[in-house]
Amino acid sequence: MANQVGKRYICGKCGAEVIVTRGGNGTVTCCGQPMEQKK
Amino acid sequence: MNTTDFLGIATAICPERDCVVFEGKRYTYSEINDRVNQLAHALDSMGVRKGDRIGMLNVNCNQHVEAYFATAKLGGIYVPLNFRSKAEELDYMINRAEIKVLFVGSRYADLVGSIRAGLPGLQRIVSVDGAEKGNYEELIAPEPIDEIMAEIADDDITILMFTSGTTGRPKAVPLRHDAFVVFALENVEPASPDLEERNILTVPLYHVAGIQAMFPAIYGGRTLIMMRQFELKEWMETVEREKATRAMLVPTMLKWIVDNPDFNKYDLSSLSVVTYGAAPMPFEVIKKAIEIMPQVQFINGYGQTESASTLTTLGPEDHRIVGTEEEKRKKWKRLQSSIGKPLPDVAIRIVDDQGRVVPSNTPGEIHAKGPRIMKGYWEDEQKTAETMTSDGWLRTGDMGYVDEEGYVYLTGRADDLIIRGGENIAPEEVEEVVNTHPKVAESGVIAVPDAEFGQQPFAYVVLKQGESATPDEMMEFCRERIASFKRPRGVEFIDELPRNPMGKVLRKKLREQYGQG
Repeated sequence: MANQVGKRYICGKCGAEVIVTRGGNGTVTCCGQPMEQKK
Repeated sequence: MNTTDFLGIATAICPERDCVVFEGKRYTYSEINDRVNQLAHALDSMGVRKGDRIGMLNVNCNQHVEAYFATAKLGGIYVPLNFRSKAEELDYMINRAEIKVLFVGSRYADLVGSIRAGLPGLQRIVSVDGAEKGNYEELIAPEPIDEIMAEIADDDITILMFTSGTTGRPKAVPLRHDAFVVFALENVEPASPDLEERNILTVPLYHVAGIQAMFPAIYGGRTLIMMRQFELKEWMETVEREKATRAMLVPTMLKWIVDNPDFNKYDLSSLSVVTYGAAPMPFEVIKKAIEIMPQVQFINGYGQTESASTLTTLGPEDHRIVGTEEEKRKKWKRLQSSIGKPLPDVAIRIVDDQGRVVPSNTPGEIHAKGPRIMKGYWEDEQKTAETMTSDGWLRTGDMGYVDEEGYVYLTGRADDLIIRGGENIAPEEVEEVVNTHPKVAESGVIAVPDAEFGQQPFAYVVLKQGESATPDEMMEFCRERIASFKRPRGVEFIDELPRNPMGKVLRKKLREQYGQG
């Protein structure tokens, strides 16, 4: 799923969190799996 | 990560959102970022390099924000100066900090001009809002908007901030990038395209409370509604007009607001969070504020310049007086004198005058430790040794205790510092000025209670033999020689000052005899 600017994504495995400062078509992944968008 | 990332992240996420609103002008995040880059290029062309000190002498303005971030991008150190300082005080601070480039508001131009000859290290003065050649707007206009960035380490110093202690001259506190970054990451939601908040900023940016309001606002992508200085009517009008959602106030400002007979003429319903601090809050003021602004979440933040930002908070829940009778009683007690609980990265201990840690509900001096606390004063090992323990605890100088639930309570000061409206006043600094009066033999200055400002400086004066004078004469003398907030608000003549066997003036005795004890 495309990542969106300003959204935060969290890794379900290790808890790492990223914030997107420039959106793109790619999926943000961590620990070998897509990160979940933080609500 | 460093503080320049606050602006970078917010600009990337919400470039078209208003970043600063000041005197009718609106600058988006994108525009502020461009202006910051232009100013950084201009400073770079002047030869500003990493570690150089860049000063600002002006009331709050958009250029304060821009000059800070431009300085930070070059790895420089920003030195915001108290705009109420007198010539001699400014001379000291500018030379002490070795400021290389000084931005000056037009109303302070003559003042700086009068001391220019005594500032050998100062290479350039730039008028912030004057029409002189080479003024701020002329300076940045031809410069590119490309990003410019020095290599910045997380623990580099980014701000040098002056704060008064009890003795002598103001001390310079080096504040690091990581101190502000750690606070923001732990306590502030970053900029979001879905959330717009509007901060009204009236606390001066030469004060750590102003800086600490600015950084979360920028990191959070909030709109900073800036006022030159706090003025009651203008504040009420601005909150209503701009629909401010957040405000940072010192207790004196909140008192003026809640006591305003025209309070109900303004629509302040947009306000949802009010943070207060910098001085103890009178209970009657916060009680009234809670009653007349029921939609507001109040937060009491306690900290010092030496801790860069907040150490403890008494949060919104502690301002909602609900629950059982016992719970309500506890909450009222906390509102009277608690500064809340330490933030997660802060350790607090209470220490007696023998240096021993004491148990809960036992009074002593409040010590604090954590990653955001300064490593030491700027080039002052002696003052650092007096303030920091060898294992990194900050002696705050505030007296208090911790209750069995972990709430910290303030009970007074360990020293003679006067705190008026959130600003520190060193009694010795005032005494030095009073003592230069030709009729004065010596003086002792202490804090006396004041309903509006918390405390005021009051001078006890011993005249030379055969001399007579009036209190007005003394106060007028001080008016011309010391910053307005430091001058004594009252003078009493006495025969002699209480002293210890070593001859040191015992201000504590003066307080017991004449002041607040």
